Amino acid sequence: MKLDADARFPHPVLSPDTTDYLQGVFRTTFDVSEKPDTSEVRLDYQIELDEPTLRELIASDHAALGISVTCRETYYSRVLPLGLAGGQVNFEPGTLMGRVTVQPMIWTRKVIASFPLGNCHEEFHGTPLSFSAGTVLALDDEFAISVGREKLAQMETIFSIALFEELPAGSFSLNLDADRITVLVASDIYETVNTLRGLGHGKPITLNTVFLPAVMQVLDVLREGGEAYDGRRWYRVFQEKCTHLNIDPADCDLWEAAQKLLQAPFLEIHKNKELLGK
Amino acid sequence: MSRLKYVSNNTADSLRESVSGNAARYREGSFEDMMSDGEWSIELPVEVDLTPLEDLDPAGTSAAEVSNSKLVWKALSVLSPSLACEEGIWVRLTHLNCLDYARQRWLNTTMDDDALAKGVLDHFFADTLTKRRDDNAISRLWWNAYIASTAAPGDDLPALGLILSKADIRSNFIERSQTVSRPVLAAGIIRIMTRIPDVAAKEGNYRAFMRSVNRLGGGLVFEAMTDNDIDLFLDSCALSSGISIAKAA
Repeated sequence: MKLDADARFPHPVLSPDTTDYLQGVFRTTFDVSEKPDTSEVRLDYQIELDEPTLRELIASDHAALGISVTCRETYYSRVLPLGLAGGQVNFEPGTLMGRVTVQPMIWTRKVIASFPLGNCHEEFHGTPLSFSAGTVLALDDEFAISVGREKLAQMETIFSIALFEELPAGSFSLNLDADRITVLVASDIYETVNTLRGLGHGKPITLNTVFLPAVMQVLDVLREGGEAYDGRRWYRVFQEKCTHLNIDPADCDLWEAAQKLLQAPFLEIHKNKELLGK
Repeated sequence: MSRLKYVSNNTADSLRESVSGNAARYREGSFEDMMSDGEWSIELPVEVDLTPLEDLDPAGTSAAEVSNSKLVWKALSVLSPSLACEEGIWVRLTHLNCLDYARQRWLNTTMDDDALAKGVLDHFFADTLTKRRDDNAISRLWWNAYIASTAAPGDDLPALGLILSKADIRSNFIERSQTVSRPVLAAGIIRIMTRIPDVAAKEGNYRAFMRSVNRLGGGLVFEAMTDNDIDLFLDSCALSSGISIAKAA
């Protein structure tokens, strides 16, 4: 159980996904800095809140603004208060690792006997609302960051190439049931692929004709959920890279995301003078 | 005290790929002679005393699980949670310092090669969150202690006995990481298990109770609530899962 925007509330909540309030914005901006070797993470933040009822509740200490931070890998889950004026949050080294989700929100700190509903949708006007402490009043979009070294691993380190004699001539396939994503190559072209990988002007070709479609294929598999590969090293690295680059495998443009993951691979052809006959 | 050491990813991968070939070492041998071949002793900037690990008890009882978790905590409480995610630390411990314990606790002499390989892959490695938390012979004990310490701080880990009193409770407490990783809620759950023994005493009660906590607690900011408010909320969860709270102290 964690606090998130998927929760349904029987009271007005100011968020990008609801129209519970007639007007008003709660928007947060975060810059993430990290020293991967020590897992030191810092969030610099700015807050935009122009809804007067919530601003007044925060000013009178009846409500607070902050983030719910959750890291499954390290069992870290805390609600951290933030200031309306913006500032900085420093996480103790060693507390976060892997995927970390951050949910900005506003919540009640004290009992509010009669919540002011003047700026709320008329569907809430019928009955006066009272809130106990710990009630969510506003949410901004949750976001995720990737902490640690996995996201920095070169993509090549999670791929390997293997001969697979049963494939039709001239074709490729993928095996994901190993610690590396294994590109299976038909026997008639196996040597050619390996030769190209060893040549300066051959690498851009394999990157674009073998690895780019392979990454797209992996993303397509992950679209359906990749839990079956949870124990595979490639899966961990791949997921961390996706989080770091803000790619949601469940909902992404395969070609666009694959180019992002391989850092615009066509540029390797574009800048290779030998390939262009220069 | 000495620097804590770990094996490299390559060494862990190589061991994982050679489980069958090393079957005799897992059954009764050792890995000491392999230490010169790979990266077995990379030092971390963390000083530890591993002596308590010599007393690990392979009995497999609930009492042994509690005392073993305390021993691992005594030796390794200095580890940060992110360091405790590093497989190489646990692989080195299960293959060197704690090999006898891991072998006696999780393998047995009647196992055929396939069963032995499965036992080794489950309990001597720690390449996923689930394996670190539930399976690796040593890391599971560290995570027991760490989670107990967040729920109820104190050198003697007061929550540990409750959490490990039944396998069902351990799995429903520790595996619900989104719940118990919120210290104020974990502390409340420990309090209700103490106040109302029925929450944990009867088969299935605890599982039903935790389901209620998840269902009813979504969207609540427990961190803004008083201990008393949290206790009242948890009482209502117990009631909604059919547990009488009449015995509350």
